[in-house]
Amino acid sequence: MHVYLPIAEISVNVFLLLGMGAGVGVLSGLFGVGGGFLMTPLLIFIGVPPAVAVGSEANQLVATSITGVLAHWRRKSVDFKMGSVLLVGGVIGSTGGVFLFKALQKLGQIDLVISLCYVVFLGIIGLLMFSESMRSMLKQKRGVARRGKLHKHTWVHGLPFKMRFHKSRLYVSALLPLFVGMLVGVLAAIMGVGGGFIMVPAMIYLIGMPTSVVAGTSLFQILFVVANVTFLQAWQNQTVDILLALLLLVGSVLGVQVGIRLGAKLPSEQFRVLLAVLVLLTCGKLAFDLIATPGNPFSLALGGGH
Amino acid sequence: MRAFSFILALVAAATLTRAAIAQIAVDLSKHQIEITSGFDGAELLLFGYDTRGGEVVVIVRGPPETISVREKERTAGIWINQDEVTFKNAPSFYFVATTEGLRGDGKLETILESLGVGPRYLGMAPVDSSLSPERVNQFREALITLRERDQLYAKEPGHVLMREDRLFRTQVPFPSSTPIGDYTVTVYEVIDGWPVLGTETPLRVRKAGFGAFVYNTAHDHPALYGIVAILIALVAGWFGGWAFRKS
Repeated sequence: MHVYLPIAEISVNVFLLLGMGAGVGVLSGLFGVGGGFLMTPLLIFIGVPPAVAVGSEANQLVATSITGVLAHWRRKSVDFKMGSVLLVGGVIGSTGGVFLFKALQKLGQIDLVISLCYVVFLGIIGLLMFSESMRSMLKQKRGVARRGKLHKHTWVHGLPFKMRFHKSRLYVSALLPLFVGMLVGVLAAIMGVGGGFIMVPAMIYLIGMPTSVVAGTSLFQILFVVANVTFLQAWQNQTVDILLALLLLVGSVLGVQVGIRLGAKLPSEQFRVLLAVLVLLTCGKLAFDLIATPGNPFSLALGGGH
Repeated sequence: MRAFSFILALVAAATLTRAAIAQIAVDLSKHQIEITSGFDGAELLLFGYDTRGGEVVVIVRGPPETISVREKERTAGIWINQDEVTFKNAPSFYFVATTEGLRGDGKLETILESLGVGPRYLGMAPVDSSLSPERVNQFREALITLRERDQLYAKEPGHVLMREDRLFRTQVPFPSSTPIGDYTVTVYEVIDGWPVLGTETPLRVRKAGFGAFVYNTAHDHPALYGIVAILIALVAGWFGGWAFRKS
């Protein structure tokens, strides 16, 4: 059964979209990631124009992140003060990102920039995750407890505009979360991702937040950033396909629940390695497409470029 | 357009020794294609009557567009869009069909060229390109190839079937990615190797139903559309979480 997507202007099998939503949803539930970094490339792969893929995925992520934020809110694991500072950065970053997106689209280089961003970020994150989880797996086997200093003093703590974050038990410069939020905002607008896969490591390693509040706080920020991206992409570029977002959403809402239940039963460390492998594979495929000689070097763009 | 084709017909008629005026009547099975949520391509039947019973050429064209063709080149190891040529008046859709008598030997091509309606002869003009004419031609060919791949341009001319020397018909296929707009369907009668404009019949492709509503709202009220998109996602996400918390 095919459905014609009014904004993407292509006809796609309904079950393919539902299946993609469910598949990425299971991974989201399993690993606690938004899944945008897998969904956007998948959408582009099945023929959705990159701009529509990014805009519609942002729309779908609004739904995914509100579910997450509400759950974390009930568990009181959201640092709203930290989230708000991240959010200010996120709104600035994503607004700039949408306009940057428009400019790059006009230059005909948006596809390249999207691919390059994916290759660079997925590559870094994938490798970090892979080595981290391998190390902890090995440690578990040897039965050695993790050790580490409670507080390391680095250049980060020398920054001005210090702020106290009670929930995170931190006293750090507001510039730090502001900058992290901004970077994630730009990426959200250009890559069609929530940015959790960048923000979570940045919150833990760069800002030094306790892991208990990281997921809830990042989801809180992501919710507003993807909502901002959805609004701006719809307003400026008309690239949000509600029908596409809804179909993906139905699949992912179910998939996430399956993933969460699955995750409770399975050993998490081994699955971290699996996620890392998945991230690296996506990265590898995109990198290959950039380097390999294309079947046809020509491409079309409506409306004329510069 | 109508007036123009009428003049064309007059000119054609005047230049021919045998004062050839095409005598054909044509109609389509539908004059409107509606792209609804379930749209997955369509096929129209074009049929007509030719009093003279000669050869017939059918041409269907979508509304003209301005389109850019970009070429990737390897730069520092990766493939990056470099040269670009923008063409004006490229039809968004192009289909040609002909009767058996005009197939092969480049007969059809000659006719299309003389009319300026073949894919390679449509006045697809490059917009101030600094590239050489040969390069521009390369880009023009690339445009045609890409559109052929997407089934928007006919790769091979379709068949016009003649019945009892008078009745003719052909199928016009439209892919699922058929662009919207006002199309022109032109039928030429070929008399002594000369194409004579027979008739034109209108065809409109438009979005309909829920899809049209979504598309129009997105373009006419983009800010409102964005807010509604967010609200729908919020409600859906909240509902999803609620439903599964209960279970």
